Amino acid sequence: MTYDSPHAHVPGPVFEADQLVKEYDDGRVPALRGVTFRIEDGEFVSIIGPSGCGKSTLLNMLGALDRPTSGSLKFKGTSIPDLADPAKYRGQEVGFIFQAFHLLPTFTVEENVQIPMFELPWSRAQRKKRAGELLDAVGLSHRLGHLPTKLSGGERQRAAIARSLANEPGVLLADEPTGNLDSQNAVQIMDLLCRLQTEHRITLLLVSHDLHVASHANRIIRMKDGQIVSESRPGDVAHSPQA
Amino acid sequence: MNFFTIVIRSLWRRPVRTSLTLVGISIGIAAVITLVGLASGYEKSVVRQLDVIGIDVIVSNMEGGMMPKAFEESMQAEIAKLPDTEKVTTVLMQMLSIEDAPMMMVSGREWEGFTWDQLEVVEGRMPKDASEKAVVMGRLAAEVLKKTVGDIVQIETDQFQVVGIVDGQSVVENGAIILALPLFQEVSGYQGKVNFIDIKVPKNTDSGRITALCEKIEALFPEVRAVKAGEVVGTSQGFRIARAMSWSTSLLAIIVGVLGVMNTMLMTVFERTHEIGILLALGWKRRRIVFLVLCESAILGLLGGMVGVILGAGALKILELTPTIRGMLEPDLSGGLVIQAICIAVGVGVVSGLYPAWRSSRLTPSLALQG
Ligand SMILES: Nc1ncnc2c1ncn2[C@@H]1O[C@H](COP(=O)(O)OP(=O)(O)OP(=O)(O)O)[C@@H](O)[C@H]1O
Ligand SMILES: [Mg+2]
Repeated sequence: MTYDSPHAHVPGPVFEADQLVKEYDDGRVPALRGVTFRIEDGEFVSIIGPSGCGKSTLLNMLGALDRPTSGSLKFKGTSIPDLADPAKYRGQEVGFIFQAFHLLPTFTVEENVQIPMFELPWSRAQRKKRAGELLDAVGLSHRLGHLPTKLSGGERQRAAIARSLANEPGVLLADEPTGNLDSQNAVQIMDLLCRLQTEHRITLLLVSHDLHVASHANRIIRMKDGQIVSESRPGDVAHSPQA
Repeated sequence: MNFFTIVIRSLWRRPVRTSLTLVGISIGIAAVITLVGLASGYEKSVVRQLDVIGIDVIVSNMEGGMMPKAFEESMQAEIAKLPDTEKVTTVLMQMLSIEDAPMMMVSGREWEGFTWDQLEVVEGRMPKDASEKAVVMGRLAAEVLKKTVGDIVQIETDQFQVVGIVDGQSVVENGAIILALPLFQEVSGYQGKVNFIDIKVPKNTDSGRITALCEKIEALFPEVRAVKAGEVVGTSQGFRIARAMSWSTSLLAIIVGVLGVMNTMLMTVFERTHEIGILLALGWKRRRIVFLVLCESAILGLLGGMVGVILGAGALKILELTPTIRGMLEPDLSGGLVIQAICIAVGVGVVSGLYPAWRSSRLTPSLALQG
């Protein structure tokens, strides 16, 4: 075992990337330049690197929000760009958390949490009940009927986390979840994410440029200029995969 | 919250734009209601008039458009010889501008023909004979021209005395000026000519025999058409033109409505790119997003249609009370027309939403989230 994965039930990788390339603007902007890695079930992996190194691009590929230019990218053995039902994958296999929260401004906190549930054959009452439970779990049960604009940044991110868990995904993809928060709120959000990750045995991929935030993970992947430059486990001496 | 809540919430977010779009559609629908309502009201009142007078077959030359062409009155004698003709009478009818009224039906009727029979004198009397320089006026015509018994009315170049006000039990009759045929032939320059021959058949003549009669008349006189009273509206070119004109004018208004809704929905899709990106990231199927956009535009159509029906009904009411139109037309707002108009409005909504919906379904989620 080269990694620490207490809740890995299914053996084999959740994600497997091989020579993954993503270019924007007809090849003029290479965002990912041949990225290869594996992520096992139940792992908590941080991806760090300077701005513009391709962290968000990588997460978008993993979440089927965009298509790679070349290379292979698999989720539990299935090619993500060739998924028969990408919407189902986005809605039920993975959950997203964004730096900018991306809550819908005209819907209350509780309604926002219900949005992903519309693709499931749930009744209105079931959706409402589940949203209530999720918001309870992130400590927002007193804010159900508020619009996102009335919430603090930390509260908004907690609402977004509740929403990401709506359909009980096995994977959470978090892009700078604490990037818009002050340090105190950042700590609370990281505690919440770590707790949920262990409780729900979720595979968590977290993008950050803050080493302190990233070091909550079991494994840290460092990127630069669209490539992985090193991998380490917190406390380890960083080692380069090419070495 | 259900799917419908989401649809309404999106529309409600831009109340001004939503209402302006509604105004656009509703004007189109109001035009449909008003114009088609007028045309069908006209048709209905003509049918009622024929029924009240007891006309079973009308002979005329409908090629000329709204008013039929004149032909020789001698045709009457030939037709009267045919079987199944109980009464045959001639009429010369014209739409003329009379004093202050821009359009008024003037009907010169063969003296002692059966078309005089159902007229009830409300005031005054009937003309004494075919040569008295007198007219009777339908009660609406008298009201519009502000005439009472004893007044003089100018028809073309000549003057006539109003000797009576009559009730003809139909809007068309009540809106007409009626006088003896020879007087009208002379003043209108149609000596020896008429443009209608009205036929009454014996009671209980079966429909097949009436059809046979019509065919015989048309065989004898190829220049005219003989039409059963019940089929006048369906076959006459004048009515067809009126109906086609009212629909095509409405169509223009509807196209304006379509452009309005399409513009609104396109703007909605453009400015909601980010929101659509979120929905896609949360696992909404493209189909559901397309459906969301289409529902929004269909609801715009539905609401616009309902407002339009109300506006159109109001316009019809106003027209009904307008002196120049009063007596000429009896607007008709049928349930069928309302349903048709609402269906058109919803259709307009859906059609205008198609392109914006298609646009929205083509978005790449990650790019939509960035933008
Ligand atoms: N839609 C796009 N079109 C063109 N270039 C893009 C697009 N999205 C990203 N890029 C480029 O791809 C590169 C990687 O971008 P990415 O957003 O993945 O960086 P990042 O590591 O997430 O940076 P940050 O820490 O600032 O979020 C950058 O050079 C960026 O300018
Ligand atoms: Mg980024």
